[in-house]
Amino acid sequence: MRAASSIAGSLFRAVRIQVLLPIAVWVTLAAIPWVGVEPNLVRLLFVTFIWTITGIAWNLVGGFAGQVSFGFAVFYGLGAYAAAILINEGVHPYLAFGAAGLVASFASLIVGVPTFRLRGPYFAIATIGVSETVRVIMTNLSVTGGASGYRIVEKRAFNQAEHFYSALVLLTVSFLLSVWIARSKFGLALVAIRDDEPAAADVGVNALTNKLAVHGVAAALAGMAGGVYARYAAFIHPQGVFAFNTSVYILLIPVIGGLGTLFGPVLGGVIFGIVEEQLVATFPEAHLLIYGALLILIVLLEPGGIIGIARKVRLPRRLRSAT
Amino acid sequence: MSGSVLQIDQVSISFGGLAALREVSFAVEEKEIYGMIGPNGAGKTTLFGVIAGALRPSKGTVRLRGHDITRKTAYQRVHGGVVRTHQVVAPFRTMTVLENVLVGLCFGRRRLGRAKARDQAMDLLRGVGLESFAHERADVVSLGNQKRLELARAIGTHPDVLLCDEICGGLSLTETQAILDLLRSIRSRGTTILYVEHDVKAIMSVCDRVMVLNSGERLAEGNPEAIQNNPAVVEAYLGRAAAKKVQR
Repeated sequence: MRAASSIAGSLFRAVRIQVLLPIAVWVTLAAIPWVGVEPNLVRLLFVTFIWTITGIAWNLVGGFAGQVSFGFAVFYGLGAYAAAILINEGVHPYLAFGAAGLVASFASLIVGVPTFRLRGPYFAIATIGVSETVRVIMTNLSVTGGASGYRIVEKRAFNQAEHFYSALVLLTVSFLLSVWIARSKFGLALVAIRDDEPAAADVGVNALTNKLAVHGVAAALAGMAGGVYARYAAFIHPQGVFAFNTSVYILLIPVIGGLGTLFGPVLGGVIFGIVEEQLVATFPEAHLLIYGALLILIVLLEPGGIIGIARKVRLPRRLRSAT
Repeated sequence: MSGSVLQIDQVSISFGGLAALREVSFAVEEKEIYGMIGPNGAGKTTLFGVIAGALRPSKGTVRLRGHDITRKTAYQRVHGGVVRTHQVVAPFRTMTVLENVLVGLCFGRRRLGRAKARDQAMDLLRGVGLESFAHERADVVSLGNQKRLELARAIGTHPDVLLCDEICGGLSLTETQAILDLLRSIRSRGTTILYVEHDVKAIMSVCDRVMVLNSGERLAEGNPEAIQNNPAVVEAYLGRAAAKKVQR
């Protein structure tokens, strides 16, 4: 009886942290535009949401399925351009965001069919190649303004709260989708592929189809994030959205927070979103060096990221209570 | 050979200049335990790879109930009813023991939903004696238990033909006996088993028929007793002098 109540107690505590805390944070965030917070903070939160969405998307492919891609800027950038062009053509922004997701998802198929036949480092290298190719093409494509960039002119008045909510809704959808995938049969296949692809095939998992599917979902999320960002920024250019740095940032977010976990990319996104601008402003020349060093340190010392550290810190406490 | 579940015809495969298998043919009958032995490098694991779809033969065919499956991929063969276990255990290491079995149930022939698969996974784990390890991570349980897990995960796909590759390698005598009992009970439920093992005693005690491979060629086939007294087999294992003793 005592054991049962203690199990119920610890279950309740787990539920309290994993469900109630995110809900409380979400409600607080949703209230922010209402309580008159200064616009710069709202902007910072908006940017943080966008990074977090891309981090959640990357984590589906890199964390769950173990396919390390250095090419997510392709989907982010294509989504940004697709939404930008459609909004300028008079399409409703929300429809344009959906279309941005579709364009990015379609692009992920074109990238995925040849590259997913490669494994490990060869896949990673191939994604760098694809990403650089797309960047060079977009830099020279005159229809979208080439290197000079592309401006979005909207007829409606600028409403910061609307942008904020667009990003928050997309973030919420992305997070819930990642929770659903982690608990589904699809998620099981992805982890099997990550752990041992030939063994997964030996129990009936079609690795290529599952990798293409998760790549498509992740690209759609990254593409929509690109679209939401493009509408807010009102100006995009290939050296920004298609930059190799963008791909590395997207990858860094789940690595900081905890690869293959649900809350890892969220924690990573929050830290990255807050720190990134300060780092760029304080160390304009050296911020990339800092990111590189951070990546190496995490991979060497704690591949589990912040979530990994948290689990280790919690474990001894449990051991202590057991004795 | 109309009752054959699995039929291997004239299968050859070479790696570079090395012929690993040379025109190997044999057929496995319904519900039998068919053993395969041979010295190191005889081509046993290569033959398994060819049957399970990991390797493509340069010549010859693999047929499942008469259907040519030589060009099918590994996962397609699982859906057709052929599944293998691995000589070097290959658990999904970040998953729990239970989740490993779920993969077999969800993506094998029955393609169960995750919730429905869960109950059956517990039954399977109980069957191989792993229920108390269900929630342990697969990479922390002992080698013997990982071998049982290989078996449970493979059975979860609901195969017609189970390929067991040295499932007793590295196990104690008691553990080996337990695995052999398990194979007998799997067969009694209607599954045909193709069994490769270095432990000749284990093979002889459980198999209906045995084939001997040597240097990529089929050396002999027959019931365990006939194989044990076959001079060619004894020569391959123990040398010419021993073979002469048997002939006398």
